Amino acid sequence: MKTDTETRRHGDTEITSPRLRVSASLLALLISFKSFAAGTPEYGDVYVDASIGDASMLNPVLSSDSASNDINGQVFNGLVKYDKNIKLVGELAGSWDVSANGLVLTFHLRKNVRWHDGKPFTAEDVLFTYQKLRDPQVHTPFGSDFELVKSVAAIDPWTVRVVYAKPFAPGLASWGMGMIPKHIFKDGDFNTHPANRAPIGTGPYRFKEWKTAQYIVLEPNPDYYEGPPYLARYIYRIIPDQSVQFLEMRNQGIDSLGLSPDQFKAYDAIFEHHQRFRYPSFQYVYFGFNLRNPLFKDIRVRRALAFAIDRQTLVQGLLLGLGQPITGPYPLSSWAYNSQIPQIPYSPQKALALLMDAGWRPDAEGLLTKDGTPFSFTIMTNQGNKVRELAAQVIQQQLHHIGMDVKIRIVEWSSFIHQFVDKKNFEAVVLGWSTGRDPDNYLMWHSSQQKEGQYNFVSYSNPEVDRLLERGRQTFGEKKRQAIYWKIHAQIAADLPYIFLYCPDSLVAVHKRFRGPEVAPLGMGWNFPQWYVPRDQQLYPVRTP
Amino acid sequence: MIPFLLRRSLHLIPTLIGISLISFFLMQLAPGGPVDQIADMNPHVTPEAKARIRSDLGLDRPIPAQYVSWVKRMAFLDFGTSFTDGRPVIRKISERLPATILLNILSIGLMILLALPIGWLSAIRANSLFDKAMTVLVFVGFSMPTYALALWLMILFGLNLGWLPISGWSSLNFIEVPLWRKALDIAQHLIMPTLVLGLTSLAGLSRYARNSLLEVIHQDYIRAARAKGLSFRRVYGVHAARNALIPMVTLVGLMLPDIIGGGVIIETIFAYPGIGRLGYEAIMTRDYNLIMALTVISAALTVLGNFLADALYAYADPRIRYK
Amino acid sequence: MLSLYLERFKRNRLAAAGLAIIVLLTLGAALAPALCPQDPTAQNLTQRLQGPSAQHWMGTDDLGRDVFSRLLTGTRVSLSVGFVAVGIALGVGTCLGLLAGFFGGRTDTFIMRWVDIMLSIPTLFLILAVLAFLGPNIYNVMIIIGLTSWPGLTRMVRGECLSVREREYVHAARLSGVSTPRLLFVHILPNVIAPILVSATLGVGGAILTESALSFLGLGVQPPMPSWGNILTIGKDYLHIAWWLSVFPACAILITVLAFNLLGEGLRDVLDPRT
Repeated sequence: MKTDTETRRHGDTEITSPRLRVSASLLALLISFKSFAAGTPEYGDVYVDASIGDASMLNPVLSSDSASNDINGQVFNGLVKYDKNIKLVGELAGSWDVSANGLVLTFHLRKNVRWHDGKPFTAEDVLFTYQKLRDPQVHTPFGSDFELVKSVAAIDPWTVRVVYAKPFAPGLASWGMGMIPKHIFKDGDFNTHPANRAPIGTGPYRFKEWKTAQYIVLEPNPDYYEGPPYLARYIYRIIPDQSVQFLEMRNQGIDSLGLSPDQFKAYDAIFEHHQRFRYPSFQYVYFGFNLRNPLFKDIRVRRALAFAIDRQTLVQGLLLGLGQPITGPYPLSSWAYNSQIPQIPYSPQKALALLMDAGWRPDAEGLLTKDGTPFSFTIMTNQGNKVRELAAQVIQQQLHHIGMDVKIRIVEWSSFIHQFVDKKNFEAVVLGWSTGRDPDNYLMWHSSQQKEGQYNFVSYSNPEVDRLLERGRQTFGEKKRQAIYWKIHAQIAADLPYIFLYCPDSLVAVHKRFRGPEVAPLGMGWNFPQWYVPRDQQLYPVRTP
Repeated sequence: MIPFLLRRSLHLIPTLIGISLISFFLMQLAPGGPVDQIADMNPHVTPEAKARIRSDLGLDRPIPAQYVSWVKRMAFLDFGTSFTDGRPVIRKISERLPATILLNILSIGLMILLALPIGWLSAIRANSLFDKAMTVLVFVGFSMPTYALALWLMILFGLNLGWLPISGWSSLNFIEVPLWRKALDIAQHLIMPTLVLGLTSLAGLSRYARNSLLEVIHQDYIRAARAKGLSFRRVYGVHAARNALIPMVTLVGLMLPDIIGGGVIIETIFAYPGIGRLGYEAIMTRDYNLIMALTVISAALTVLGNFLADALYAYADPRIRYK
Repeated sequence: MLSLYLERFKRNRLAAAGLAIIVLLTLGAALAPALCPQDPTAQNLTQRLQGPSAQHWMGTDDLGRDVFSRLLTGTRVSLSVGFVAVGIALGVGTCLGLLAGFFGGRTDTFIMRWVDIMLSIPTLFLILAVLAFLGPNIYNVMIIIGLTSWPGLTRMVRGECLSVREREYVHAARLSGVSTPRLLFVHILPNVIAPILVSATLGVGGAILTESALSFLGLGVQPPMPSWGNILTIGKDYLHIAWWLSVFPACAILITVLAFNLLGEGLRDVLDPRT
């Protein structure tokens, strides 16, 4: 679960499955203001990014908040990574082999990789990283990704063999986890090690300075195995208020900023110095029910609610068209999304008919009642996600039209998760999932995942879906898995434990002087080390020596 | 003087105990408790692991025992470690404290610098147009929601005029410039937060200055001095002002907690690295050790500030010592 | 006596203006449902973020609701927060102050020690922590603001009570066997009412400001219930796109808090025999 404190407060708060930490981004179906003009890259200048919250720990094994992820993504490398087309390619591992049964992975490491302090990167480091991920003393949120690993062994300094107990399709992608240096961490307490604040990695940028609550500065790694990046500094500013971030962007105080739909569509003069980018995100927003609540046990009632909510209005009115309505538990751009499932149309009449069928009758004032009790419940959502708060209010209004008495309770993130979601102390929620590139969503839907703090908090249980989820993670090959996940999609769309609302677009502004920003299926930033600024447009006089 | 100070410092002890009690029991209000927060880092924490964390933190012991051991550790400035990054709480606070103290000193300075002349002029011209205008003006400052004022100033001075940086504590080229440029840079970043914090808390002090001066002016000895032919400046500028303004020292002391509290908003909006923002973040992440330590430390600082103010007051006005 | 006060009050035009504004606002709050030109909860997503017009005097918000109607309804919420919080502070503060001043000795020491403690803890901090732990809603906001703003009042009431206690008529009443509660509330209280009234007036303004600060930090009155604080906080995010969403609520807060302060200061001048 994502633990970033500040995203909880204002930002785009998601519950993120631990494995899926690559920051959200995707498919270039839509507009992209292409800026990649031909030219010779030049060194120099500074890239200033901003975040609502400070990083917690600059150690990819320990932290899962978005600020730490942003920095760790520049400082550390995994064995594998997703390329711009969301295909897994080698990173620290130049190549790998998979055994015929899928149980054995053999990584062949690159031999020319050095840590930022000059020591060579070897199989020992991979082994060490794995040991820390499985160490019960280590406060890592990613241990579950490696639960099915039976053994990891260094065959020689540049070859690592991983053996799985059971076939695990998402296993390969989990080795995208940032590798940490054994020679730095072998002494001292791992959880509170000083290197967590002054990280040593292998990535394109190396750590320079961290002023708590102010900024983090990275500088290019001259020894990067793909050659040093062009920008002379990467500065990550911490600005807790979103309206101030926007002001700073307009003032050229920051070079890149995520935008709300309203900001994205604001008048052009605001973006005098910035270019806007738009691409589908790997997130979706849903209206979920507590299936243990008698009110929502009846599928007719859930179907009625699906008919009563106008998703098109949500997308057009709140997202200003910058998103798409969805029908099932995957982001629209995932290959697991089953595009053959029809949208449930907006139809208050059908909703009412279904409710009548389930025994609900409008009283004199038009309020639905059954056996003397009115149809009344509370929608909860977390505070800080503007669009989601508004969506809850729009849903309230739409359900009011068919005679339901709906209240809204907006709760600050920490309480919301611990006191309400984890304890199943809610009736209905509006929330979002930020999913990874691998569609395995066992943790959200399998009936075994209903304990306190687990992700199937709506208490969904369907033996058929359980079986499919198990098969999905044990099957290799996109085509074969796609068939399984399409079935899961269809079944969940029929059972309606959630009403799936929409998949919002990612909206980003980047300063116009940068050459290189390009939207690809993976999103933006996949080629960040290659970004540069032509010398005559450089804003800051910092140069790489 | 010394006996007074001794007596006064004895009073500090029950106050400090009370503060520690409030800080500690405030945390007992929190549902769930710190283990939930740690377990949140790891959805697969087993009940056994949770129990182990609880006993590691001493949370399985009775509450009074927890309180006693907390106070004991605190006596050695050991406030435990933060749940979010495992660093010692005291280090997290000490790296933020200088920024907050600097901002507070500057804005209190600005406040006094403005409040005294405004109060003085308003008093000697009580009920004049100037007095009325000033009354309205200082209250407009007080009545303005701070964050709205801050944002408007940012738009005006930062975005439109380009005179001042919008947020933060230093510029991006900070590490590369000579010392005097660094000082200048920080000064520029401090102007808007100081202005906002100073202007919005000006009202109390300037009204107090005005009213107590008015009171003194009406007293017999001042009228007598005036009647004896002492100059206007000498009577109002020295005698009256001295007697009326000395008590203000204690008022400033009393305002400290409000200024520290006000820092939460100012520091958040200006992205200023102080303890107000740290405290807010700690509350939102349920970083219990950090919240308790911050409450105790900021309250203790206030108590210390008040003590100093009292000592100054007693030094300036000997009558106080014998009360 | 009363006519003297009235006379003085009438001469203080700032205070009179403050009072007029407060009376207007209170009326507006009381009659809000009748006065709202539109339903403050009626959404219209095709009319989002529209500037002021004849139809929407103060424009519309991010769900297309009428800002004027929402501000008017918010008047109820914000004034209630102010009045209830101050009511609580008055109750606690006055009682404790009277007790401390009247009985002196250990009671006094104990109460005043608490006052010192409460006065040294950063109030906003305490409020934030309690609201984060217990959950922010209008009731918790009112109560916790009230429960953290009594110490100053206690200190003042105690001081006044100390001086009144020594007056002849109190001694006389005491000797004639009047019960302690009666002595406190009937004989002493009326004589300390002036400073209480002043500080209550100022307190209402303070509580409204505190609520708006809490809203900014996400711990004030929660939407969809409109308070001036949360309308302004929404407006803050649209600063560059829809100025009316921040300017009008900010002005509402500014004018109201100003009115309470001017009235309070005026009352101080009028009721204080020394000036």
